[in-house]
Amino acid sequence: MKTQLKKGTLDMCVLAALAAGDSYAYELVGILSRTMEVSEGTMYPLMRRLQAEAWVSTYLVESASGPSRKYYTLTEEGRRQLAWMQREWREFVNEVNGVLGLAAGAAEGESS
Amino acid sequence: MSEQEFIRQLQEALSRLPERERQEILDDYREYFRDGAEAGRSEADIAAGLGDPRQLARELAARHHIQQWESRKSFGNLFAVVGAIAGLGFLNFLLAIPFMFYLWMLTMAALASTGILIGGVVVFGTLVCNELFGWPAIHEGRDVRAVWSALEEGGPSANIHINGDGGEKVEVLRDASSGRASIHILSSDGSISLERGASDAVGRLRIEDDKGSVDIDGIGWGVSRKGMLATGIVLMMLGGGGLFLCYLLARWTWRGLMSYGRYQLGLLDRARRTES
Repeated sequence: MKTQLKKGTLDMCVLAALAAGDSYAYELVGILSRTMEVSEGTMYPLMRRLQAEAWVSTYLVESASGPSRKYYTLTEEGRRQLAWMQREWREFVNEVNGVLGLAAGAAEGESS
Repeated sequence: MSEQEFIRQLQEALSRLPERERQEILDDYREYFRDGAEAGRSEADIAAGLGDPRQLARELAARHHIQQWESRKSFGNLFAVVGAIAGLGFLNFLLAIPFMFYLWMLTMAALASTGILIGGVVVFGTLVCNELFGWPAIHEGRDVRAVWSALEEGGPSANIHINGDGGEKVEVLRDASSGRASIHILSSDGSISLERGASDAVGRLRIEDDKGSVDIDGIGWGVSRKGMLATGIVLMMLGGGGLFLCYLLARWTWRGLMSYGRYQLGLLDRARRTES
């Protein structure tokens, strides 16, 4: 269940992380893994998919030490997509919480 | 696994991708290794985190080909998608062989239909163009007919015999009652005869010498406009129908194939997440 849920929401989490500021692949994994379990291997194919959907675009930043680094940034389309996903997510969580709240109330009622 | 080994395996497995795309992917992974090293991690640790490079490559290639196909739907791109999906696993590979054959047949059918359609358009177009502009000329066998009508209308009523010194003969024979007419050229070496059949359109050519003979019974004198019109329309209908059928089949095929490909990629995603 948890892996299934994560599959759908990982896209949203990456978009949300990028909404807070442009970032590069390694940093993104770091940001996400602070609060959730992320496989490093998943990230790159996922970023390419988001790019293909035109939700993110990339630009290179020259660094003083060594070669340039690829930054990902949200596109307008990506911002709209994120807003839609967040709305869907909230509705979904509210629905589930509603059911869980009822179930929890019933369980409490039974024990008391 | 070292970074070098990881990159090498990835590069090898991505060999079918265009050079630019491959280099971009490799650069991105090199960057990732650099960032990991800066954070104090070992190459082996980073490589383990990224997973099997060959599996990654297959997934990236499959996505690339599906994307290619979606931006430009050609049979070549469809083949590439099938190949890429086949690369995702062994079972897919077994399924891909009969599927490739099916695609090949579909391609051939589409080519044949296109040929027939073009033939129909050329025949029909020639006719229409001739009607409108009088060009190109359509030989309706006027020349041959002219000979016969000259014979019938303006020529002498009697048959014509011309005899040479060495037994050569040229004869023009007519039979007024049946409407049959013939021209014979005879020499000691052989003969050529041209006969007009009962109908205007059919005749007979016979060439003979001491070694053998050719006998063509039923020569159409040129083409008829009605025949051209019918042939053109039938060819266009056949070709167009065939092409449309191929198009429908191809559409169904690619829809099914794309769902199957996405389903396979989804399985990969899930497998990787369960591993991690």
